[in-house]
Amino acid sequence: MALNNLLKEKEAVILKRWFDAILETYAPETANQLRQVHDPFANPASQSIRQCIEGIFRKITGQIFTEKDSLSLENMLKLRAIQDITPSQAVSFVFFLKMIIRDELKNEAYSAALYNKLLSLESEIDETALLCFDLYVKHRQKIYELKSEEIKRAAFMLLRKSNQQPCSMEER
Amino acid sequence: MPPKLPKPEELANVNYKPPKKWWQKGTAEIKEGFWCFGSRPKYLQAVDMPNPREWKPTDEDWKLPDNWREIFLEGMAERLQKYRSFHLFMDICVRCGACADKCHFYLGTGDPKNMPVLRAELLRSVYRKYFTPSGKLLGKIAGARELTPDVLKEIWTYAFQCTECRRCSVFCPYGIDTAEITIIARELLNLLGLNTDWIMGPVANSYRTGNHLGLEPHTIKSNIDFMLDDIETVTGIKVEPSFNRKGAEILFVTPSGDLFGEPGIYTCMGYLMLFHELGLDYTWSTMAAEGGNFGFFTSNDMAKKLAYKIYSEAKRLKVKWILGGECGHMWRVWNQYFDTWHGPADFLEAPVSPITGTRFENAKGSKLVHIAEFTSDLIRHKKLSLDPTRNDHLQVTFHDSCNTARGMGIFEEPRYIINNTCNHFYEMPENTIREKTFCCGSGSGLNAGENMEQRMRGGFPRANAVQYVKERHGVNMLANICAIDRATLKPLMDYWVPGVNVAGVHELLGNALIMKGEKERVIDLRGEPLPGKEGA
Ligand code: SF4
Ligand code: SF4
Repeated sequence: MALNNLLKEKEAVILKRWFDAILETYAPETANQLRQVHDPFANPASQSIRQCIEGIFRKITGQIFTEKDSLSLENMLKLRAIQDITPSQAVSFVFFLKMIIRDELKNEAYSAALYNKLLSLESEIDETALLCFDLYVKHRQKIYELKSEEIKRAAFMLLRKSNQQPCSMEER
Repeated sequence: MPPKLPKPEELANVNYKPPKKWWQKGTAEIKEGFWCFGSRPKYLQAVDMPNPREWKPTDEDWKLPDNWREIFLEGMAERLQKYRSFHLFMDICVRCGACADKCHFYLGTGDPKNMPVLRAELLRSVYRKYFTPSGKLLGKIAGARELTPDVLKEIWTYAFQCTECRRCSVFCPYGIDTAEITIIARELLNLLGLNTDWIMGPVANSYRTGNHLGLEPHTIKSNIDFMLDDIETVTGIKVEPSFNRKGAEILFVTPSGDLFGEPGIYTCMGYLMLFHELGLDYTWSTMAAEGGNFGFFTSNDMAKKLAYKIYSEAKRLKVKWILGGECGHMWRVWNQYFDTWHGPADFLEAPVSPITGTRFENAKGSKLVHIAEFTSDLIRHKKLSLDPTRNDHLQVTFHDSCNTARGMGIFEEPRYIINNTCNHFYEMPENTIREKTFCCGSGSGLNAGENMEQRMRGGFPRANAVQYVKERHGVNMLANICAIDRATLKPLMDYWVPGVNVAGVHELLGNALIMKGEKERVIDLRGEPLPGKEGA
């Protein structure tokens, strides 16, 4: 069977294991909450994780990766970028998928073709991890920007008076 | 010898699991992005608060007085006696967990100590140890903890990760208000000089000059003059407000953020235009030019002191009543505490709108009317000409500020104003608005720069709901009636939902307001072209 079909068949199991593996990185009380509450507004972190891993799964199995998927990937990395974790922990969740897929496919009869496909799939996962790292860094950077922009906004009138900003509306 | 490098399989074996039961012992880890700078001594000295010294939360030694434990526990005993609510909240929690996932900081950090029940437990465990027989006797088994330096540091850390927003209390079957527990925790910490620079600076400035930034009267006036020039550019009308004028009917007080910050100044321009159009007999004060009260984030006494300046200014100017601008905690302080502190303010009159004759019965005691109430009453009586098409480029949603929503139940008035000044208004999901509104994540003095990550975590649930209406309805404007919101929702949106801007409700009103004798408007209050007037 082609690798993508195999994976699609196991999609639900893989996603569940992946989700659980991510929850393991949280405190047990928090993991429980994330598992149980499905309301996307009452528990937005849970939704972010779910949507993000579904999107990545679609991406690496050659399905359509929509704009919404890309947004949920961004959201997940925004969340990781401000959580109290190291950069490696922030993107580690992508690598969990590799282990899970290896494990799920361990009983499959490996043809050379399937094995090669698996290798390229793993490269794709690595690439996704790199993309996630880029996003992580971008959002870390953003935090610093927010700080300096906020100072400028708070001192808007002072900057105007000291001619650092266009002084009157007509000049703007 | 070079350090031993881990083998590849060791690297792959990273344990991400947090240890079990870790929260029972005090852990005093003070982490980057979570904390705000400790208060500088000069601010504490300015208002005579205890233990002024240079200190940093990350220092091992917080330079506490030798008898710090006694001070803290005596302070606690005093407050247990004074505030029945505090005593009750220390006793009655059944740990049902209904509040657990209702806190935005918990949802954003995933840190269980940010569950309201555990946040309260940090102080409650100390209460048990020193104030209950079972805790004194059984210690840990009864959930009691010694007040050690680590426990103190932990209480400090989590008292400044709570915005006192009261969302948790809405869901607690017993009505336990964790915000009040945080308020008391901060009071106790203040007895030891443990506050933040971001809070104490505004407190000291307010005490000296009457506003957070320490703006002197001439600066306040010249800032407003700038706005008047802009209003003239937009409308062709010269607005001429008065300052410190004795005998005016109304004293107008707004948070000082509206006087110098962006986008607050546009809201302020809205007020100025509205009052001019009405011909309102009102005055600004340059002495009490601050609706905000950061004293509320230090102690009851300090909040009381700072609040009084507005009343004494009202007395000095001999006005009849006070109109307040769009602010959040100003209203909580006023609505919930003022009468007990200083009331009744007999020298003022029960507020009556001079335009519509409406008596603001709800403000009979405090003599202070919220501008959203005042303006919606004007619209209801058809006293304003409005052209909502000027806001047609805006798809608006409304963020209920915790303080006006849960602190005093202002829900309909701002929505009524928006619906009359804008054609496109969309509500966020039901469990994120009105009394269940999610906090901006930066209230109660946590809107500093050094804890930006924490603010983004805390604001995540709010931003998530905005993202939903943005995707669904193309929302591009987040309206609100709070100065802290105007300042802090902007970075929150820039981080989580880029493309959504932030405005006070009276900015929208200022744009829609048709003023007598105005020229054809082609730009809005921000100087940007109005819809359909791009080439003009
Ligand atoms: S909902 Fe109320 S009683 Fe239940 S755990 Fe929270 S504070 Fe305690
Ligand atoms: S008052 Fe607000 S910030 Fe504080 S614990 Fe409750 S929900 Fe959290």
